[in-house]
Amino acid sequence: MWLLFACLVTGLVTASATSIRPPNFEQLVDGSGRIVRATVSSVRPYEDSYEGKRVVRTEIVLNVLETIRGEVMTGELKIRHLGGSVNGLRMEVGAMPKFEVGKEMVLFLHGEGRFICPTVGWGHGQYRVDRSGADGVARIRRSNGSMLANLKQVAEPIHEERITQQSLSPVVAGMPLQNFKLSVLDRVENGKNQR
Amino acid sequence: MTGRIIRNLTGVLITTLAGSQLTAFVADDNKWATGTTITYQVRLGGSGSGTLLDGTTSWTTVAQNSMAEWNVHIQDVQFAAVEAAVGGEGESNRVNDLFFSSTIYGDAFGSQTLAVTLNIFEGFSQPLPRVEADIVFNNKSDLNWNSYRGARRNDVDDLQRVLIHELGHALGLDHPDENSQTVSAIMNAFASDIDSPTTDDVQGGQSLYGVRDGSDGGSGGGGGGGGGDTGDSFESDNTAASATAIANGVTQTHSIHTVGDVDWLSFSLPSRATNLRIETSGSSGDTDIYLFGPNTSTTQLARDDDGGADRFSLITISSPSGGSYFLRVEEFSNNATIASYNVSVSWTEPFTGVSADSFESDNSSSSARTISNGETQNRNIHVAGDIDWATFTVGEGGASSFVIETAGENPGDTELTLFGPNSSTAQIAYNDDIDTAGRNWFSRVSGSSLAEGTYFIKVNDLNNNSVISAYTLKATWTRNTVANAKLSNLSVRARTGGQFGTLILGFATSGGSKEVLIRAMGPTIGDFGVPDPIPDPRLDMIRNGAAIDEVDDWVDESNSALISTRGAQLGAFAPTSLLEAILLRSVTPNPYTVLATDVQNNTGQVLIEAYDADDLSAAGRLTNLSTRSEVGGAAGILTAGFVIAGTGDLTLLIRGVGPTLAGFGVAGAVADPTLVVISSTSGERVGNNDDWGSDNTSAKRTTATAVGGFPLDEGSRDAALLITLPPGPYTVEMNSGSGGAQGNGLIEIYEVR
Repeated sequence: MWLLFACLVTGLVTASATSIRPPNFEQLVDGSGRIVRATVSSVRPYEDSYEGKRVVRTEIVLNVLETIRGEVMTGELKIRHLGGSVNGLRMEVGAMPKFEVGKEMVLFLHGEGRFICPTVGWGHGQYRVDRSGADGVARIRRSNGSMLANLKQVAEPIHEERITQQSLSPVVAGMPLQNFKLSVLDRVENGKNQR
Repeated sequence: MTGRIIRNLTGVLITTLAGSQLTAFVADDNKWATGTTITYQVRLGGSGSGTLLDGTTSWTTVAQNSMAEWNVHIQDVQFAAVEAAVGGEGESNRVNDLFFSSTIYGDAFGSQTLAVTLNIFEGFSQPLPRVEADIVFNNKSDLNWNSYRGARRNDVDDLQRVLIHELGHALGLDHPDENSQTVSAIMNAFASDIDSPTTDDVQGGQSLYGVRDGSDGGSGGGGGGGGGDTGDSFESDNTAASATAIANGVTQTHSIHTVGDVDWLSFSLPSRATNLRIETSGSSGDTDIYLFGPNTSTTQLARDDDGGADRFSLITISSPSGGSYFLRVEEFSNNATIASYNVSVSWTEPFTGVSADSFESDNSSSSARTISNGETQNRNIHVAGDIDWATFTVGEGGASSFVIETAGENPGDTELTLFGPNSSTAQIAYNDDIDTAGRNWFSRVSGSSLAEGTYFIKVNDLNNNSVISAYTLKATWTRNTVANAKLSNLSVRARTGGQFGTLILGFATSGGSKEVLIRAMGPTIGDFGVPDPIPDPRLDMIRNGAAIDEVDDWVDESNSALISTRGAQLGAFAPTSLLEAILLRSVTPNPYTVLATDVQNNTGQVLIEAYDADDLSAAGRLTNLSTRSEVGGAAGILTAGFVIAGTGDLTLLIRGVGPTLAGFGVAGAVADPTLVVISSTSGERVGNNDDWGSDNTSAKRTTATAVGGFPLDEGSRDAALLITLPPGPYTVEMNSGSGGAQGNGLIEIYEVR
């Protein structure tokens, strides 16, 4: 929570010491073993060990509201990423998407296996659901808080924006959650056909 | 106690706000301790393919060259590379490892990740010191690691520029372009044609670790000072390994303090720098200088003895290659001393006088910026090697012609390539010069057709070695007309209640979910002068014989705000009364019936309307609209309006049913209905029918079956017509033929596809 507060008041940015090839929408869907809409229940960094060495990981507990791709489930789903800070040891992997308790998200998750980052394409695989619009339409924001206007933006750079009330205000051009989901489902079906 | 995370970006904010736009580096105060040699155990193994594209033969050399790119600029810390065995790497062991792997701590990279820098901080004090920074390259088989300079290639992954980038992170630098900065930098989040630290990158590194200007006597300096046999302050600099770094425009004063003394200097030349000049001078002495490089201290590139003033030396190279260079200065015959001489190095930095345009960063197809039909975008090639990508989408039906062109003032020599559809690599058009003879070196591609799909435009300087300070990019295409006409609205005004029965409107949808806006308007049409409206309308919606919805006052609807918005978007007049009945729903493909009544069972006029609230591209369609009411006699003509939206013609089956209704248990059906269809735009009659069997009988019968309409009784006096109409508003008038008596009548409109 302290880090979240710091981010809000200073406009801090996440170090992005990671070189990635951003996926386009089709690659994002095709590369995801599970796609869910969920709220973040908890975020907990913890000290782990691997082959005798200290390592810090962060566990995120999700409350899955809807499974868009993959084994259908609702309720608790745990994911984790490398890095965090605990007991005087901080490990930092840049570009790791942030998870905030209470936020509703659409997450494109890897399938089997354990990954440095649980979302496909790092921040390109995490989308927030914004229900604050006056029209009551749930809309999709990118991991940096900006509205997702179209699917082409999935592959665009994730410019970290200062999170302000203004940037969280609804924008008409934002893609509705329903449309986003239908696009994902359509791609899932097309992907099957192409295979 | 838990170590706190603090990232002090005060300096960043000040720099960003007060500095020029070209200064946009983002630095982290949690840095390496002053004096640290950040030694990397380079465990990358052999280059695999032998000689790499840049001529190097080992990853260790690539790593050393990458580190040298930073070392020549920063003071307080230095990178060092030690070749080590593959497989000896480890995370969190206070050793900086540089290696290939498919995992970190057992976790996989994922297919999209090229490399990761894992920074480790330890302690409780602030700022938190860095203690380790491992750099791990993904060894996934479809990554083609190599090392090369210049424009980024899609088929080969340049380890050196990625490593320079990751080393920047190891120093504590972040991505300027992910902090709303637009600047040319290797620290930008996306790999580009930049293959070495730019001015902004260097300033970022120097903000953390100071400026390396040669005043420290070079790495591993031996104490210096004092003159005499100990030599000048840069000694000992007798080998390439102990060369003194010298920066652009700097003059250093050295000496040949003993016979046989040699002085080594080094400098890093940015890519595309020009006019390299190396000169010695002094009051007396005879120097001889040797230049080695790039990226080697053993390959001699140039030598000069007396090209400078008096017996001093001068080397000039107008277009040198970027990289690390080494300079050896000797007394000509190595048989005398020189008490003091000056050595200076200078070059012209790559042209950076043009700020990036507002479409940057758009250096790859994946970051292409959208250009609309007919739009002209003001762009530039802000640095040599800059590439501008744009994209556009031609909708359903494709285009019948297109022109894409650049324009501007000479000098400016663009190259324009068009790729697509739905591909950024399949080239379909290319042009260099619009008119070479006329010296119009801008570009234009055109053609007679484009298929539906997404296209990519690539614009670059012809030779990728010049800036174009301003040019315009314009794309125009003529889109083919697409027949997408569909029913979008039905309205009927009639009396409801009492002797007139309940006014009924039916509609059917198919093809997918559809949003519909249904309105029963009473008081509002009274404000428009319609006499005797019902005072408080109510709507009941029925599907498959079961009531599924009811609305009394629209303002009590949970989506009343959206009802207002959508009504305005559809061009529906705004209700002036809160008592009107309106509903907005998304419905599944089914037939529906809507009943319009007055809450207090009053008799009077009501306008009932059904709107298709989706746009033309929606899959769902209104396929059938109908209304049933009293017609003829005191009830007068039953008038229904409908609207065809979109482009192209739409064929409709329109029926006025009376006699056949008796077979469905409707009592008092009108005996001999007639139908007239009128264009509301021109006021002209566009179709009419009395008895459906009078013409085209077989087609009407077949069509009715095809669209799901019940069959009309053979030989009955029901009316029907098949008609093809262009988009627009229309009116259907149903009357009791030959002055017949009032009866119950049904108007039906079916979409025929």
